[in-house]
Order: sequence, then structure tokens, then C-alpha cells
Amino acid sequence: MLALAVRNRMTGLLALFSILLAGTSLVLTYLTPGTERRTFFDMAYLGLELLAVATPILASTSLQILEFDQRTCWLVLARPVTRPGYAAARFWGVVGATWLNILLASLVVLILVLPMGGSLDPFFLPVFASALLEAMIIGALACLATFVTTAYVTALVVMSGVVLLGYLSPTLSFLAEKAGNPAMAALIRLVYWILPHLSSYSVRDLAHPVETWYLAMLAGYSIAYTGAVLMAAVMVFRHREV
Amino acid sequence: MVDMNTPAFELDKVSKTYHLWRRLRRTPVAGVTGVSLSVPRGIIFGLLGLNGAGKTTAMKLLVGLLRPDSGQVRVLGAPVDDPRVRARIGFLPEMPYLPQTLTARELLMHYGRISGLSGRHLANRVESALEKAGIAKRAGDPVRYFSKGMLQRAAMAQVLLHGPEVVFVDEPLSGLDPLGISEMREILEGLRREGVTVCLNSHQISEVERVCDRVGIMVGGRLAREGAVGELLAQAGSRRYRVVILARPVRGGKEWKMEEKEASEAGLAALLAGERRRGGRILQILALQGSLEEVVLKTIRNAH
Repeated sequence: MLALAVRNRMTGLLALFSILLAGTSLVLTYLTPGTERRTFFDMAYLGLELLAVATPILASTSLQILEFDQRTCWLVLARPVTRPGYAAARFWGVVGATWLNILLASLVVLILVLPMGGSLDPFFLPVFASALLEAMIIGALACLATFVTTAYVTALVVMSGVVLLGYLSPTLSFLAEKAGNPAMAALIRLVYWILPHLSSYSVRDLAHPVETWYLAMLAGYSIAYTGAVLMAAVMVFRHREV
Repeated sequence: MVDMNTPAFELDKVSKTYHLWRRLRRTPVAGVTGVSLSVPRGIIFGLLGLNGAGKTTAMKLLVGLLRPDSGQVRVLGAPVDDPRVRARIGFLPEMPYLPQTLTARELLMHYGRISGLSGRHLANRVESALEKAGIAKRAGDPVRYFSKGMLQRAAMAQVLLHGPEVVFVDEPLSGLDPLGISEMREILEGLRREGVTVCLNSHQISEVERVCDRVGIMVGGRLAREGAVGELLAQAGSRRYRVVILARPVRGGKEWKMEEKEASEAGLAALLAGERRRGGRILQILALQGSLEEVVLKTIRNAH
């Protein structure tokens, strides 16, 4: 429903965000003579990661308000639509919109980098790909959270908490190793495996160059994790009273 | 092949309990309890009852938005969980929440696609539904600019869109002006003429009495009474009589006076005997039909 998205000003706001980000990047490049390109790409990568995380969370929350609080889902679910079908359409709608935003933001980056000359930053494509994969995982988590809770504030808090802890997954692994109590270590390890390993998606922070095998592994993990979370979301939504 | 003998919808010993969190405790609240009902095709069936009686819960069970804790819900002879069944029903909720930024036409195109319509057939159905609901002239306006009555019509248009065989409408008359009520009544009666079964949930008992063939009265989540409107009125013992009497002139007077008195079925004989004793002449006895409102109130009082 592109018309709905355009008239809800969602796309306009995201375009404004991209322009602001690009503008800030350009201003910062002027403030850091000698490292203009590096600064510009760092800002661009930050923007792409932010889009991958924030867009699915915000889009899912706004959908939760529209569908469950304002009950627009009633008119859809009373039609020949299955609950798994509804959940899948919701997930792909959110992820599709996020991917489109990431793509548009990446195009803006490419357009802005042309006048600077030189070749494309080697991290650009890996960051672009990992942002797409990260959006998929966050989209599935957002879908689950908005199906589990009835209040959008709770969903927002839960999602933010999971994402934050997801970025801290290496710390959890470290804590599990250092925990003196075996039960505590097992618990931390369980949390570590349940949470998404979002720090792995910050490919520009990796110590080694991003190789194809790493991206392939990341894609495999993303698909498996997204699939598991979506299955849980469908199970929850099957029994949810709307 | 449509089997017209199959009931339009059935509830078989259906119970549904909600669970609310009160003071950190999961508290059960009965929605409907042991409701059994079978409604034949091609009629307008009215669901009546006080607020919280379970009418909306029953309707949500019938359109598949809720699942029963026990019992069976069947629409057109099949479980309502089946999407193929839901393709043959229409639903108008009490407060129709529509995506506000879409125009009425876009809205119908959207719901039409979800219902499996496409191409020229969809476009034709959309125009026909807009026309039937009386909003064709405003089809290009976003629904956020619509009045409550217009929103109700837009919501009704999405019900009519895919040519459903059974239509569930929850409080379709609320917020409508007298003209709107009259037009909504025409739409419902038109559906009945086309052979569509309508389940109407409304607080406006006089309207229900006017358009419905059968009604069910719900009290505290149970179906307290169900039957044809005429039968209920007759069985309720609410029949009253108006007696027109030519009363004798009072002492010293010369003029006979015309009087009208009302009596229940039980009190009629006593009234007539008394008037005859006083020398009055009975000119006319009119049987007054009891109202559905009386039946509903009596049923509710008896159930408590």
C-alpha cells in the first residue's frame, strides 16, 4: 500500500532523515580535512545501520497501533486471510519497506560520493548487505513483539531491550565464561543463544576484511534466526484474540 | 452447488471466556456460555441484549475473529476457520476502523483484492458497492473527511463488495440520522430480497422489530430466548386490548361520553363486565400488538 505509506508521511519523514544524514555527512567532511572520505563513509554506514534497526521497530509499532488498537485488522481477518498469511504479509511489508529505505539511502550515498572521486569504499557493499540482513532479523523480532504484547509501548521497550542486548552478545559470552556459578553461566549462555548476535552485523568494526564466506555465514544465520522467530510469531498470532 | 437447506450459521454449545489481568491476577470473564443457535438462510436475524450480554462476542466468533473455548461455530455448513468460508461472508464491526488516508475507492480496491477479486471484475464490483452504499459521488475523497454516517456507508460498501452470502453487521445504525437509518434499512432488506442472510446486532429494538424475521435475546452471555418475531410477540403474553366504550351520562347529565380504555388479556373480561354493569356500551375492541421491547425487557428481567 504505497499510497497509504506516502499519505501517512512515513516515506516523507524517512526521505527527510536521509537528506539530513547526507547533509550532516557533507558538513562533517568539511570539518575533518584530510579524512573527508573516511568521515563521509562512516556517517553513511551509521545511517544505514540506523535505518536497518529503527525502521522495522517504528513501522511495526505504528502498525500495531493501526491494526490492534484501532482494529483495522478485524476487516482483514474476517476475510479469506489465514493468520500465518497475515503475519507473513506483515513481516514482508515491514522488511520490504526497510529494504527500500536502505536501498534509497545507499543510492544517495553513491550519488554524493561521485564528486569526491576515487573508488568505492571496500566496506560499502558488505555494510549494505549486512544492513539488509539485520533489517530482516529486527523485522521478525518486531513482528513477534507486536504480536505478543497488546500495548505498543511495551512492544517498543521490549524490542529496544532485545536490540540493545543483541549488540552486547559478545559481552554476554564473556560473562558466561567468567561466571563462577555453573547455573548462572548456563543461564547467561542460554540468553546468549536466544538473543540475536547483532554485533556481527557491524561489519565495518571487524578486525579482518569482510570476505564472501563471512557474508554467506551471516546470511545463513539471519535466515535461520528470522525463520525461527517468525515461526514463534505465527504460533503466538494463531492464538491471539484480536 | 449451494445447499439452501444448510443453515446460514450455527453455534453449537459455544462458550468463550476472556481472561483479564486484574491486580496481577488472571481473572476469567465469561463472554458467551453454552450458546446454541441455528439460523436458516435468506432471513434477517437480530441479536438483542444489554451491553455486555455477549452479542459482539457471538458475532466475533461467527466471523472467526475469536475461537471458542468449547463448542462449534459453523457458517454455511463449514467451520469458520476455513478461509473459503470467510470468502463468502461479510462483516461490519460496530466501530468500523478504516485506514484514514485512503479514498473510499482505494479502500474497496484493497479489501476486494484481499477477498480474491481482481481486474475488471474487481473494478466493477467496487463501483457497484459504492453505488449501493450511496457514496459513489465521494469515492475519490479520503475517508478521514467522511462524517460518521458516511464512514458507516463506506464500511457497508466493503461488506457488499464481494457479494457475500451471509452478512454480519454489528450496530449498523449507530450514529446514523433518520435518513441514514432508512437507507441502511433498505440495504438490509435489499440483501434479504437477494437471498443473503443478515445477522444484525443492534440496540435499536424498534428497527430490529421492523426488519428482522427472527431474533435471539442474549442475557449475561447466554441465549435466553430465540424465535420468529411474531411468535415471540404472541408467546410473550404481552397482548393488550383497547376498548372503545360509550359511557352512560353521569347522574343528572344527558350526554353519553366516548371513552378509550386499555386492558391486558387477563384483565379484559373484568373491564368489559364492569362497563356493562355501569350501563356503558362497548363499541369496539382492538387487539394491540405487544412490542419487541416489552419482550426483551421481560426476558431480561426473568433471566435475572
